[in-house]
Amino acid sequence: MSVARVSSAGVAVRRLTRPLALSTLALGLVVVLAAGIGSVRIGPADVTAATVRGIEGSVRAAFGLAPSVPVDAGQRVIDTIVWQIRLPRVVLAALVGAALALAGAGFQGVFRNPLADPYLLGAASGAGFAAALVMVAGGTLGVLGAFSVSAAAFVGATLTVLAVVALARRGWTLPVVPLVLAGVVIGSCLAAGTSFVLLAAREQAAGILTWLLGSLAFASWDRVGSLLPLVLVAAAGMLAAARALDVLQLGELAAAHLGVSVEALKLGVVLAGTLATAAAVSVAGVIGFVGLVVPHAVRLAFGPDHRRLVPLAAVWGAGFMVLADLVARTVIAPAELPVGVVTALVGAPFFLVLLRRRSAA
Amino acid sequence: MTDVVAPSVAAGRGATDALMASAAPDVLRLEGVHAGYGARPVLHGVDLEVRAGEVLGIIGPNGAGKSTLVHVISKVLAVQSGSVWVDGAPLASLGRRALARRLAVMPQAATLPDGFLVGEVVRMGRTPFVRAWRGPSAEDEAEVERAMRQTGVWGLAERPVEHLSGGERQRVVLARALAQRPRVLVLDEPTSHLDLRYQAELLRAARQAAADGVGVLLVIHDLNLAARACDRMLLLTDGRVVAAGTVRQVLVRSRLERAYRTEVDVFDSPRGPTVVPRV
Repeated sequence: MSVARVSSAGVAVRRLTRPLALSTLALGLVVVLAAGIGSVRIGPADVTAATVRGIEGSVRAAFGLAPSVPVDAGQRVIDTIVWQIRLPRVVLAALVGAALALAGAGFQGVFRNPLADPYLLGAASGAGFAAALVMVAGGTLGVLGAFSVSAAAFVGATLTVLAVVALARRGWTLPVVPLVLAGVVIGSCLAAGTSFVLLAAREQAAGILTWLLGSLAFASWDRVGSLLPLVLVAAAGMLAAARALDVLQLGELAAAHLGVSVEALKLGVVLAGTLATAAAVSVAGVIGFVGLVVPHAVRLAFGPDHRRLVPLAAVWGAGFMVLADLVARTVIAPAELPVGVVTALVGAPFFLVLLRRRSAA
Repeated sequence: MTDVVAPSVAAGRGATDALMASAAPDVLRLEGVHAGYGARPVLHGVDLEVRAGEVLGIIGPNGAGKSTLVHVISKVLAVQSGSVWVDGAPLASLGRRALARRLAVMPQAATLPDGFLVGEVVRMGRTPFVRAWRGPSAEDEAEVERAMRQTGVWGLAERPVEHLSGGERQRVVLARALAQRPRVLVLDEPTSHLDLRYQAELLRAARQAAADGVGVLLVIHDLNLAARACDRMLLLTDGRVVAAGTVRQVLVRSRLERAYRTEVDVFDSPRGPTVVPRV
């Protein structure tokens, strides 16, 4: 059996190292490819060289050293395109995809339902409503400046999920069905609020709608820097929960019999997933289907155990998002499609196939 | 019809093994346990003990409190009053992981998630022993192998669980419980939906666990299977213990008719009594 190796005592263990290494390598190739494609085509070798010089320059700047040997004018143009314009966007796309896929994998595990997605508990509606309000108010909030919409989206998403959790909790337990119902109801309320804002502020409606559909056009290394730590924390949380999430698939009662603190697990995964989702939404708007489709596809391809699913979903989510954004910015260049439209166009048919297969089974 | 008693026939394993087991320490003890859901009390002062090496059967009509008893013992439901000791430690003092290292539950109608391999599911039995961020130890792997061989599922290790028959699934669930290396094994209706061969196989595995020194608490509806698998029995009715003792002391016509509120016939045989309801 190719997916399994035999452990010291002879019991099947599925490998993680090789699929993860191969997937990460594939992600690297996709990143180099995506950074090379645009109005100016740049070959993989030049992209790699420009990236290395960019990293070198940043490291030198960080240590207060002089810039390295000056390069010729053509190279300087390529460096600017790759390092200043395309890579921040590609890396941001990768982080957003990884965050949404991580959250999706966690939510599908904790709700024991492959159709759960990161927005199930209202994070998208909360972020959308808060962002819409700030955009109507002029787009800036005091010291936050250009980050106002992002900050509002992050806070909106987080507060919404916390409110849903507070509504659904029974004492110290977090029953799943009330949690999902509360998420749907609060999500609907906030979506209605966003619709109202869109109708009331027609001049800004196009801008708000573009944000709601998701875009990576405002990428910068600053945004990458603000997203990275949040995604890392969420990923660490999800990985720590992976083994317990496997056991949870036996049912909450059986997991408790095996020593899992089920309520703490559920709350922890919901919080880690919400952190990842809120972080992704705050920099890129509401991008759908990644968090639903990617974990599911990874589960079909590599099996259901979360110690493999969580890291592989993150890598595949990153790759999927980089490709989706590549399509979004190139098919109707110089104009751009909202990246959420691309992910939905790819994701919706996949989702329908999934749904039909489940109802047939 | 009166109870058929045949004192000249050697009693089955019940009497002799129970005598031997009486010297063993108790691994599960309940004293005056009251428990219930919210304002609805279910258990009214239950006392019981399971000793190492014996199978104690819990029988009783639907709604008697058998499932509630399992929930209390596995600390899913808190006691309202009374005490529970597991392997000498008060249940209240044991955390979830500590409890799972002493007591395993084979739940009623266990679900096995699609896509997982048999070996992976049995390895989940080691959850209370495996440290976060670290893989299973050699000892964990050895316990998994032992449990799988004991239940006859070693050859299925790489089979996805959705490809198992009903009998195989139950053995996998039992293997997972045995992989916990418990002092107390709680089996909640392990034989329902199984055919005769698998019923016999599963109960033999339960007896083997007892022979290895585990205290087994067997919750079971089928009185005739209970009669053949248990050393001692406890008849639960309306949340109270109405009879406890050897199989022949408990499976008595008058007691059963009162507990189940229907007429029954009890036939004795060398392998234990057989109870049949009158239709």
